[in-house]
Amino acid sequence: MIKIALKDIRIFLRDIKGLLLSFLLPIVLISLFGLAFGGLASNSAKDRPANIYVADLDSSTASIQIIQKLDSLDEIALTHIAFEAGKENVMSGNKLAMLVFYQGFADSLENGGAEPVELFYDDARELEASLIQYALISNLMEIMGSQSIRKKILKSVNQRFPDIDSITLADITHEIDLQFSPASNEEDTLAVATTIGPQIGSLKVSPLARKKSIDWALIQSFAGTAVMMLLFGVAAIGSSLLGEREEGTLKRLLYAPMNPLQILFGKMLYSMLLATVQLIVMLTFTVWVLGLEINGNLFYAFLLIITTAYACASFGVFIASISGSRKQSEGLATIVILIMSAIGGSMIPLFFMPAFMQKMAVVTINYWSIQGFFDVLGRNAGFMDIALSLAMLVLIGTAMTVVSAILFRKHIYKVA
Amino acid sequence: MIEIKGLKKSFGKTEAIRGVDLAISKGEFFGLLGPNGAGKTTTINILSTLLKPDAGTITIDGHDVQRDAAKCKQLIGVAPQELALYSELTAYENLMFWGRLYGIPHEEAATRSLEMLQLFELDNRRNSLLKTFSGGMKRRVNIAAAMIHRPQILLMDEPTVGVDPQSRHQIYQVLAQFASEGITIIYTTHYMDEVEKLCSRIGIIDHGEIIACGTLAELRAFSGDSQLIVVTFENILPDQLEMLRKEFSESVIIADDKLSYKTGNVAADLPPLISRSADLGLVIRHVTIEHTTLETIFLSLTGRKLRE
Repeated sequence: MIKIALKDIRIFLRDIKGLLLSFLLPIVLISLFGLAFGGLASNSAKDRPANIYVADLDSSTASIQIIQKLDSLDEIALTHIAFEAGKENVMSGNKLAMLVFYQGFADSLENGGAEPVELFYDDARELEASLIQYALISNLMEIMGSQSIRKKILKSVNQRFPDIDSITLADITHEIDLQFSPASNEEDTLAVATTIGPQIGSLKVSPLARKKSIDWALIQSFAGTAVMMLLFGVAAIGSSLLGEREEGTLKRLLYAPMNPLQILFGKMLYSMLLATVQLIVMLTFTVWVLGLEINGNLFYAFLLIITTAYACASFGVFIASISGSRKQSEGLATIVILIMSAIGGSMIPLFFMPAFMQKMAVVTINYWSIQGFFDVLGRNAGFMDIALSLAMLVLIGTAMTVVSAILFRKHIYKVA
Repeated sequence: MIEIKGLKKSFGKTEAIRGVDLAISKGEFFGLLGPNGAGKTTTINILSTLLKPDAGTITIDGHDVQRDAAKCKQLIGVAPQELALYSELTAYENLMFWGRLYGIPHEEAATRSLEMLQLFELDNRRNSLLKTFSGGMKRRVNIAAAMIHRPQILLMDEPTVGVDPQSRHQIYQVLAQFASEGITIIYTTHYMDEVEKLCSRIGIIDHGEIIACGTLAELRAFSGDSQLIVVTFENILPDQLEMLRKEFSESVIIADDKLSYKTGNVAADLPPLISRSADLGLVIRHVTIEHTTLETIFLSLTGRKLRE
């Protein structure tokens, strides 16, 4: 097995074009994606926009009800936390944002005053924060209901026009009732809320400066590009197994006194070694040249590199084992890799995608690897935090290896 | 050395091997001949442990090929028809790789690789990439790779296809040396002259069965013909040739202005043929008496040419 891997490494090192494609191209792409994502907004992240903390300092019936309603929405998920702890986590980059209901929220809601609600967010993830801000405003408006808004409008009218006569006031009240009646459509309500937002129903937003700078764009471009390029690389190695069959060397290997599966595992070992070296080179480049600051444990990063390399290597032999010829394997690999990269977050950061696509992403190697790298490189995650990513990569890799082994054994007789 | 008993193998409804029995002694240079699809490759694939037979057994030096495959693989070297080598590696690296694959320690593999390259007169090109080699040189490396682990049996499937005469001659010399060292060689080829020249015994396989087996002399006797009268005419018309064929024997072979007549009794058959030719006013340029070639034996036994 090792001899087969060493032979392939020797052949690979003689292939200058292959070397360039394996190392230089990913580095160029990481740099380009890094620039592109950085220019768009200097952030990118793991969490879905609405997965945030909530600190309920009011603990009133009104605040509890509103939190429950917000939490029941599909696009928002809230986790309760103490105010200081939540702030600390946002500042550490562990969570995108925290919604705070201050003491007196219920009274303000009843009296028509400005509700003391504030959204703290990670200033390094401004784009995501703006998405959640929009979602919160529209949902808060809807939940807090027309009663609060009516009160606020009337209070505003009274303050601006203290001498208004009772008939005009009655007309205004009637008009407001019409506008906020259940029959009135959602678009209109939102339009009113947006127009008068600064005065009523607005959400105070406060960016929190990071304790330590994390370049999410670079992590995204490194992890996304690296996994995609690895997949292309290992698919080529996998198809070389079919090349051996076509050129007759596979048959000769089968004459040798060894288990036929050692040939398959030899190819996998070579793929894995190459993928590991590629990932280490790409990460080193991203750190040293592009300036990524690693906030996590390097050993965990290495674990993730190994498991990613294993899953990718399995993918390479899996594609080869289900293909009839080298050309078929190359064509199939290209299609599958592009689809996996598109839905798995290699091409576009996951938070840009609709919820159903984010759910689909979990079947891809790209998704688990990228999530793992975000956790390890950006969030200083512990072992248990990355355990799921590691386990899923091993699981996907093992499933593909088992299928490949079964199909490879079956194909031996075709070789003969 | 090799004992094949009642070997059968089918692929779906196609019977590739239909009960082959064969015994090959140690040091024998055995030629296995047969038209395409006769069952040669299937026999070799079973012998080399790549395929499992449906019935029958093969033992090599007492080891059952199926039950003791690992041991048998060590005893066998295979030089396949394809150039099963890595063109991006040098000749030396190729031999090292195949040697190491058979469990030869690094130092020992290095020594043997150099010896092999010397034996095949390729030591001056040992560090050249295989892709820079000529077809004949690659063929030589192909055989060297099969011999690197010093097997007792060498299976060769058309080892000289597309080889220039110089390389071919060099290969024959090395194979003769292997045979003299006691290595059993099983050789399949389409070149009859190679079999006649190299093989001490020949097996003819057709439709999955060994239809004849023995030395060349034994095969000649087995085919029932020992001599061939070849008469070359001057300005003969096809009609006249056809007339002669009908009068003498349906087994007369006509080609261009030649008539070939297989017979077991030249003295009895030649005079009437000359006399009848004179009657027809034909001018005989020359007459030769030849021993039956393997090609004609093969043709008479299988009814097919080797490449059919």
